[in-house]
Amino acid sequence: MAVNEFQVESNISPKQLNNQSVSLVIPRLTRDKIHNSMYYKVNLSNESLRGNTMVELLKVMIGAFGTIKGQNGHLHMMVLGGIEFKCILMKLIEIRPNFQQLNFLLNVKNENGFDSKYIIALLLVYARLQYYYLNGNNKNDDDENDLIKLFKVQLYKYSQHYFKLKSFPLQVDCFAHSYNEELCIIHIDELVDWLATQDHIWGIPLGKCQWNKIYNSDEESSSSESESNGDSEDDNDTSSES
Amino acid sequence: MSFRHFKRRLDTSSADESSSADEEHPDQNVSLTEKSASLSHSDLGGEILNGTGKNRTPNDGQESNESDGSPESDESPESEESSDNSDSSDSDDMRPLPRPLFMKKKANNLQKATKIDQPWNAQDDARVLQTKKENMIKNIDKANQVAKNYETMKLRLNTNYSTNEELIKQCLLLDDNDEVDSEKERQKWFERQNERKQKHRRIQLAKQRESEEYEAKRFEAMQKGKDGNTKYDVILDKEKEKLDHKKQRSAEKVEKSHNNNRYKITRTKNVEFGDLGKNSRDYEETEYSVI
Repeated sequence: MAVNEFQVESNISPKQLNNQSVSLVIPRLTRDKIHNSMYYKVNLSNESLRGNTMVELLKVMIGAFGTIKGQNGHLHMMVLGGIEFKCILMKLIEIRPNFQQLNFLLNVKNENGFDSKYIIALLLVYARLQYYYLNGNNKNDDDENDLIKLFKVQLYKYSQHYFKLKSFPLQVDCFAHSYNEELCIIHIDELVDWLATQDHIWGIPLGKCQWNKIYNSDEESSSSESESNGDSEDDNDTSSES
Repeated sequence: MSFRHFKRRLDTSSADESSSADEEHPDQNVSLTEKSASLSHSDLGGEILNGTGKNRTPNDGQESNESDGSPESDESPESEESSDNSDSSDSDDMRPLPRPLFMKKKANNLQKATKIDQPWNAQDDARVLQTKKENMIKNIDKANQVAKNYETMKLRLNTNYSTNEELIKQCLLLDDNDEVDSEKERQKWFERQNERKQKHRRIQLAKQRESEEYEAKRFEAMQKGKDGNTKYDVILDKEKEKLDHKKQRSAEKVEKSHNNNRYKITRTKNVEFGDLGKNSRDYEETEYSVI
């Protein structure tokens, strides 16, 4: 019965997390709209990517979301929350990068003027969307603990930054509205706060999550404060290096 | 009338005589001035002296007229001599003074003016020119930059394959450059951080208030439970009232039975019991008639 149920629905990734397909994190209607959009068919299908791995997708991500420091900010064309963003997010969910890849992308050092702020925003949204189910109580699973630690550190790190991003308003779904919404400039700390407190973003529902409570953990325990201090020092080092 | 006419003729004749007498004195003075001029070796001095000589003659004429008019004629030549001496002294004093003063002052003023004005003017002009050039260069650079941006934006807008042009225009109008006014962004970040902290604090206070209300209601419920135990007596009172009510009702029933004639035994009025007999007129045989 289950096999037949999967066969009826197309565009379901064979990879699994949390005892289900990774594609089910995004609801059916949104998933169908994403798969039927022209950008996904032209740029993100397996034939156009010439593969189905992170190496091929990274080229598309850098080409779409990469920016250069000091360049005129008007000329960047990609917007968070738009159709292109959702298509790339869907492909990222289907590919499901592993821990090493996530760690590399979230901690990348921007050299030669390259700025990966949009890619970082994409990955934070992906982590919140895909790995909402992680629970720190399971002490036997080291992979989960590593992921939780990575995501907590990154959320706190980027809540202390304030670089600017072009975006749809965070409560707006670009598919649902027939008229054009006004774009706006948001800051990365606003995005992190939204991911930590709200249950939906750009029309995509976010699951109940336990590792995104960065404010409670900071205020309740002093050990987390010391960790946060260490994180801030690391941030200073990275900023000085960059 | 005739006397007046005679006086005028006499005045004119006396004037001529006085003029001839005076001519001798200015001649001597002129010779002296000529000598001094030759010593000074300057033509201008000579001209000045000539001017002074001319000035003397009309003064002498006036004095002569006055002397003729007055009866006392001896005093007038003394006054003439004194006036001549004063004039000569003035001319001697004035000779050296004006020349060097005028020339030096003018020369110095002109030189100072040139010295002061020229470098200031030159410096100011140079500075103004430099600033103008710099402003021109800046304006040219800005104009070039704007033109380049406009061209690139237009190119991207035209070559983009998307049909949502308004979205692309909005995207191009926004600027996400982080290097622009980073201090202001930092201040705004601090403000946002404070707002988030206050929001979180409000949420925690609300949770605490809710828990306190829950505990208060629970305590009240416990109190009500105790009060309920005490209220059991009241229930007993109610039961007593009910028993009394029942007794009253039973009494009423007894009274009613005496007045009711419904259930009394009476004689039979109709012996045939309706239409059940076979001899009746409306009797009809049916399938149930056998029963």
